Amino acid sequence: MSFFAGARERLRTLFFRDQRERELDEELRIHLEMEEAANLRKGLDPAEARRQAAITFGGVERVKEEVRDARGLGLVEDVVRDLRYAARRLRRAPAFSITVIATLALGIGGATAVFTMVKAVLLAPLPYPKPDRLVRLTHTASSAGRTTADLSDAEVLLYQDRAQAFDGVAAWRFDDGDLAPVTADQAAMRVRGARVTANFFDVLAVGPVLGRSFVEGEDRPGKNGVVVLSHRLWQERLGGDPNAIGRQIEVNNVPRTVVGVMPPRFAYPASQVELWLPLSLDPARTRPATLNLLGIARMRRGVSEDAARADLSRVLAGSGEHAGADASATARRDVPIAPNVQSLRDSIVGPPSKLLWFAFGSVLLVLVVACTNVAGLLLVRAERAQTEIAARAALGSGFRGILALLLSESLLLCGLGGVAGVLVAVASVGMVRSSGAAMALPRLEDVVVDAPILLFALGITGFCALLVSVLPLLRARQVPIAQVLRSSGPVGGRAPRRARRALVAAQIALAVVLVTVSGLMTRSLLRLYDVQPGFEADGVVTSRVLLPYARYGSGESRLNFFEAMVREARSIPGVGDVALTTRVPLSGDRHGVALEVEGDPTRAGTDGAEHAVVHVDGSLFRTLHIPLLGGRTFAAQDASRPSEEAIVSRSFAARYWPGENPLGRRVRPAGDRWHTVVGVVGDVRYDGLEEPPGKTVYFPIVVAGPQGEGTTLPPALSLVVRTDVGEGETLSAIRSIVAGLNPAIPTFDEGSLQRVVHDASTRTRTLAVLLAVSSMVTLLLVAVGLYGLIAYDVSIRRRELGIRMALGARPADIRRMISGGGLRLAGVGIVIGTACALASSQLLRGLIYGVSPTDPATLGAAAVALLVVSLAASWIPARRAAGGHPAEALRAQ
Amino acid sequence: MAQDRTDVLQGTLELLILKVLSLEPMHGWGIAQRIQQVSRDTFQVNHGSLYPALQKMTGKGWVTAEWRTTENNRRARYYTLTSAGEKQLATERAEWERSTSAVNWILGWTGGSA
Repeated sequence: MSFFAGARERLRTLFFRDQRERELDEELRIHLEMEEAANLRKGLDPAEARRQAAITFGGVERVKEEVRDARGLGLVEDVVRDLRYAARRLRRAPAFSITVIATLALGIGGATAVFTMVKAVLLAPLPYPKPDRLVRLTHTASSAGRTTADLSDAEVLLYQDRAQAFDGVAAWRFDDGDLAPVTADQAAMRVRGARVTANFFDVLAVGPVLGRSFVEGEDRPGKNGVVVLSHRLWQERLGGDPNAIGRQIEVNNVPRTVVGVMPPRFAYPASQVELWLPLSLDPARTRPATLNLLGIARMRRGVSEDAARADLSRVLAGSGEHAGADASATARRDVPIAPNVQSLRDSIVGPPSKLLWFAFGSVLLVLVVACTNVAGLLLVRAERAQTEIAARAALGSGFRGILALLLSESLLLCGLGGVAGVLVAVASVGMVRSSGAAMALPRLEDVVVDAPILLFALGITGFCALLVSVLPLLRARQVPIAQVLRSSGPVGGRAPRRARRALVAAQIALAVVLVTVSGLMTRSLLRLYDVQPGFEADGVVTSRVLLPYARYGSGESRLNFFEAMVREARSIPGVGDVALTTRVPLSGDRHGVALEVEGDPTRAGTDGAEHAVVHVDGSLFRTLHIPLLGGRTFAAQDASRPSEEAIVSRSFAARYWPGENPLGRRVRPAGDRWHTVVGVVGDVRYDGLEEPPGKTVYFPIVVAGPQGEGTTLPPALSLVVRTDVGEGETLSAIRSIVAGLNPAIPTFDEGSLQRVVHDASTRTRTLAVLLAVSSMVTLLLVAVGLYGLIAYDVSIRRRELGIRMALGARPADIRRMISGGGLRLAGVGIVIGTACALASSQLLRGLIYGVSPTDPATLGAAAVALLVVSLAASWIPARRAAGGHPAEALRAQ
Repeated sequence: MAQDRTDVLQGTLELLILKVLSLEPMHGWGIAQRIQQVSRDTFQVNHGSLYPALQKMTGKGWVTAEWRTTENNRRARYYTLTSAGEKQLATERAEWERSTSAVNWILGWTGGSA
């Protein structure tokens, strides 16, 4: 209690210093008056009364000082006083202060923003209980080359049944859903969803906030009419209804019962997933050829990843006569697949980690450059403050006093720079979050500026403060007091100039490294733009449609729908060709189907993930301008007979029938009937621009039905339309066509193919932009730093230059001398920087494309850029130096 | 007639102030007068030394200060003892009595072990 009462008084002293002084004054005056009055009453005369009062009291000024000392908050008060004084001094030099604060804000803000992402994506553990027990299960098909594949429902059931090393084995795949409107004012909506095994949530050990998750047995056919919603969907679609459990909502035209709602930040397998439906696993009718389920599992306590993998191998080996419903067991058993166990966190964060660490490294570089700039500026300021320092030292201030003087300014500047930097970081993180979905950055929901991030910002701010204060402090110790006071101005020594030159040279070296890397990244980007995707994207729009099983169960109903859609699309004004396909190139979504090539002992199925298998109608190649290299395209397809044709891409033919005519050869999806190759087309990059064009096999959209009876079509197809008219008009025309055929079916994945191709180079583009910005900032900082150095040099050497000019030096000579000094310094920096860039080139592998990390053209361009900047920065002060009148210069200072 | 001015030890000054204020709130000059009177003029403190002590005690929360009007209708800054101050008075008083007892034992010592 006493602490608080006292604290109020102490705070008042701190903030209302002047008021307290006046109060004290008055109080002491009153005291003296009272004593004087008492003396008068004792009979003294007024003058004597006053004198006696003063004697009794003691020295007033001394008392005041003692009271002030007694007030002393000690250290805190001193620091505050120093900071106030520093603030006053800095206010008198606004250009300097703003430059320093802005520089620091850029450096600290950039580093903090990237660290926020690094921490959320790479460092923080997954937000599930005991996350180090969670693993991702995959298979490696190890025949002709190793490729990774996922699980089929056969393996999932097998592992769930027989594996010993896990508390639970679960699996999932993406499955988007059409939601029918719940209330009258809603529209049909398409959401990202996932189909999961019944124990999915148990394996992750996350429970719902409302209701329950799935129970055992709900992932079997006929039992899976339930759904779990995300928190956001529950709020938006059901209005946050507390009685939502038990309500029915229609997903894909099938009514489902809501059994649970997940917590707000739950975001597995992706932050866009809004609902979870149970899979429909039928142990009697598995499809081992379709490896489309992603497996996750929770290892038992004490089990290592190796032991888990061994356990799975054991189970797989003993699976014996496991006949699949599509009779593909034979094919699969001959394909050696080995199980893989990988930490779940690594599987999520693996791919973008290199990009992030790289981005982090580059912003740290910018930070260091910013700090060296600030250090240089502070050094200059300390030089100018020599007079004050000397005076204080002469008056007995001692080293601590000088320390306080210099440190308080840099602390204040760094503190303000740090605060501004945090603001910059918050803004940048906000921008990243809103665009990050496009970059497919994982764990986006965890990217937020919170307490540990602020601690980091505080840490690097402190580090900056230390860095920038060291040199001016060292310099302050060496101030020759008498000399400075006598000459009433700063005395330039060799040491500070050397220090500053070293700083600027270091800056230039760092800038060379950054500019080089930026140049390499930009060239990679340009190379990527040059990559031929194998088709023409100009003027093509796509739109995807998924037909719900409930109403379009038979092949005939689907074919009727799609044919009607194509027919009506053809009559849209401005539309040329129209086609249907299961896969749009470069739009993600890769999983493999096992294939067999007739007569080829190495099963194409072993390279399952490497082969794109696409179902198309005959007009796709014409629509996308994929060249037909031989044979013909598919004949017209009808619903009564499944087609037995196939078309292969050039590299597929070259791989399996090198030098021979592929026409007439046969391939088949494992367990299916044989298809005859009727045509060969050019290669198309389905997976990524940086990857080699895939060996692709095209099948017709009308294929044999389940168990080889009847016909069926894939339920989801993309309409590909080449049009002369604008993208927006064509897409809305398509939407109305689909709505006209069935108003409950929305279209999705709409857009121009050009944008898809553009998005495929997003990662490289992001890096290129980031590095370009960093390079610009760094070049600016370097220019400012070098300019400042030379300008200051010139100002110190005015007398010397004046003498030179009086002795006959021409302006051109002076200019050459000054700018020559600057260029020499730049030269040193460039050489060092180029060496560093060469030394660190290995780090770039995997991030750049089509250009070598030690590309001489890029290195040369970086050197030239720095030379130009240095020349410009030296030129201006050089001109000013040469323009001065000798007599004035001699009189100056 | 000037009495012997006995300098008050710094530590006991606080004790004395606390005691005076425990009877009623008082301004600085009044405290000085009170100490002088009640000690029968033994202690005539340098009035100035009161104020640093008062400042320290205010900072520690043992007294609070506020401006009031005196009987003579002038402004003065009055100091009041807080409950923490009362506790401190008790503590310091106990401490004082301990030290005086100890000094008395030593003064009463006639030699040899106690």
